[in-house]
Amino acid sequence: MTEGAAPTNLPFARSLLGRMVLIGIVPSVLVIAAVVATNGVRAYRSLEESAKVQIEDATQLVALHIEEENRRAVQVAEMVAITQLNGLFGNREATLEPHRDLLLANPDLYAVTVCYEPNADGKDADPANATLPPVTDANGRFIPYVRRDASKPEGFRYEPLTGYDDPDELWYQGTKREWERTGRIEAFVTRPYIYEGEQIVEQMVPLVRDGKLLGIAGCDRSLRTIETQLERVRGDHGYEVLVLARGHYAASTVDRDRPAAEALRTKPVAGTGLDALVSGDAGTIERPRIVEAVNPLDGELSYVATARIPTGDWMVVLTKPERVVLAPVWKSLAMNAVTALVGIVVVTVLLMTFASRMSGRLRTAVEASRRIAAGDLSSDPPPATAADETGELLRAFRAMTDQLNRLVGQVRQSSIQIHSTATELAATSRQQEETVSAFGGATTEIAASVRQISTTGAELVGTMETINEHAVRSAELAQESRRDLAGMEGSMRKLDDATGLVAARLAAINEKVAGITAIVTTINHVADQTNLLSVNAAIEAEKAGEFGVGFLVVAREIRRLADQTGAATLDIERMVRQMQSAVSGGVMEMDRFAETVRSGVDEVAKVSARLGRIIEQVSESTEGFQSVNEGMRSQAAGAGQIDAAMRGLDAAARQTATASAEFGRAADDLQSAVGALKTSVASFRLRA
Amino acid sequence: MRTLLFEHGGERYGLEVARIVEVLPAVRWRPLGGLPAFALGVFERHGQLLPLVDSSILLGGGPTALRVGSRVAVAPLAESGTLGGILLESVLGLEEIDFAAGGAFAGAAGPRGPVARHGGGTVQLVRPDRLLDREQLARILGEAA
Repeated sequence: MTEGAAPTNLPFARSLLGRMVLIGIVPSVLVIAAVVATNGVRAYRSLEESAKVQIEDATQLVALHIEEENRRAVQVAEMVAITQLNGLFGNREATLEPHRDLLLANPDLYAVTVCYEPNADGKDADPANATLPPVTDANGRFIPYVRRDASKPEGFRYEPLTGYDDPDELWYQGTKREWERTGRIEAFVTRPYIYEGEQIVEQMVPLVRDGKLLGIAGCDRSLRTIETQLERVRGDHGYEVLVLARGHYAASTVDRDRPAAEALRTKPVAGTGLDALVSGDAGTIERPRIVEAVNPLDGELSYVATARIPTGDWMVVLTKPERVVLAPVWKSLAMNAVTALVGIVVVTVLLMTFASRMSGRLRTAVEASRRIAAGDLSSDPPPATAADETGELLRAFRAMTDQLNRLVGQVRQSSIQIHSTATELAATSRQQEETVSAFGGATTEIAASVRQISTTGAELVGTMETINEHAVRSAELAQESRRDLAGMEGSMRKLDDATGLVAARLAAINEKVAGITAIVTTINHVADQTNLLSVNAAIEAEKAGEFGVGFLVVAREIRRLADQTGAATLDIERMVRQMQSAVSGGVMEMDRFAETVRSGVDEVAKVSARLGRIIEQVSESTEGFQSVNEGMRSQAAGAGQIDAAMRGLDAAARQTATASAEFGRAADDLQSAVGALKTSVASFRLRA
Repeated sequence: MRTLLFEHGGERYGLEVARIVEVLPAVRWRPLGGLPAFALGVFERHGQLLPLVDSSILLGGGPTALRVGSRVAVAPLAESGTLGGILLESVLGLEEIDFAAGGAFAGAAGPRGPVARHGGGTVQLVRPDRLLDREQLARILGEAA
């Protein structure tokens, strides 16, 4: 059995399974979560505390180491000063040897030096200076600098100091100024700087006798040992350690991972962002100050511890990112969470398994009860194998089902009897219903028929009046039109005849014109002949010489007449042709006109025929009167329907009476059946 | 000089009236086969058959196109006085033209005579008795006889 396909419609929260989950699992989950959270917070606090202690210890360690180194270097410087003031001052040759011994005895030292004020010992011009190594300036001022040199077999070399006049060089001018300012004879530790590739720091002591400054004495120290120490402290604890001296970086573990160009050492602190963090009250070696702040060098939230070193006024800054400090807390939290989750899952699985088995049995019982409630007693009752209370429940179910089976068998028989009686009752009641509805229908029919009759009568009157008016007016109009048309047709026939006459006359004119043409041709011919005759007459006259002169004149006149005749005939010919074309055009026009007139006559005849048909249709309007007759007949039919409906009413009343009697008998049957059922039910014992 | 003016191919020509016997309408003539194109055939005058020649062809051109003004001038075709008909394309009339006056052009020995100015144009005198050379004359006369 699966929980997801549960046939019950209960929501999960209200089901047995859901409640078990709520009661059993949710509290345990809450308790475990609370334990994990509390442990996490406690672990975080203790870890933070121990981390701070560690940071403080590490800071102290570094600060103490540097303090010791500085102290030792200062002691060397003071020793050099003491030897000068107690015998060696002015003894230039004797000075160099102890300096060399000091340098070789202290591997941390880089150089040992003194720097006299000009002619402080009065021997600047001493010729014995020439026997010394190069330890004076051009004026003979004693400025020996014994420095370590690995390339020499003896491991050192002498050289004169440089840069002592530079006001920016702290080792000389700074020491001098400090003495002038305070009047105290104290060692002065410079900030670190690079000298020929070596990062060094200088410890200088003013040489004062009788309140007068004779020069300075001291030593240079390499900072390599400090960086080695810082690396040792850093180890793999995630620390970063920085040493600041007079506003500059003296050493740092940060430089290890940086390219040489970006290395911090010797650079000023101002501008790197760290100056804001270390300003204000720094801690002491005994009690370093620890704050939580963003480390400007890597941008991480870190614990920052600071401690001031008294000798040289340096400062140690130690940082450790919070991320690194808290990493173990997160790790332990994750472990706790995983363990808790596993526990919760195991508890949930066990609880769900048990609950689902129990709720499965209960659901079987529920299913069986549902079937019984739905009237299904045919199926077998659920098996009861479990020995606990649920098994008991299922066994009681089995017994109840058997009892119910017997009871229902008896009830069924009684119900069959009741059923047939009820059927009879229903049939009777249906009949009664039908009768009543038939009665209602008859009434409605009567009302409808009456309404129809009255409507038809009103319509009839209106229709008759309208038809009468229309028929009279149409007949008048049609007759009038017909008379007009007859007149028009006569006129058009006359017009046709007249047109024919005109055409005939034009044809006659055309013939006459042809005659004229023939005459003109004849005249033309005569004129031509006359012309010829005149020419020949002239020829004859010419031959007759002087006697023919008179005749020649006559001949010329004749020829002129003939020419005029010819020209006149040409004019006549032209006019006749024009007349001919005009006449034939007229004939054509007349033909066309006559054709139009004839078609007009046809049209008139057609219109007349149409009018005739209209008159016929008007006469047919007498059919309207027939429809009046039909209306009258439908009125009569309506009256007949009223009659029939009344008869139906009568019959229905009789049927109702019969049905009532039958209903009475059926009621008796039902009563006896109910009695039998009562007896059957009485055999059951009901729970109180 | 009294002259019978006629037109041929757009140019005007003249015949001396004294040399013309008679002017007839362009009558019907009978063509004769086997003759040159200028010899149109024979026609009847006062019961006598005379040869008919085409002035247009003889003056250098195509055959005469007959018109309303077309005429036949009867004139001696040789110095011997042998009569014949000359078909003229279009006779314009009789005019008095002085071919001897200044500006006139003395023509060649052929039928074409001197040219004179007249009525805004020029007129060339044509000698009917020189229209045909001896051989041509003999041929048509032989045929006509």
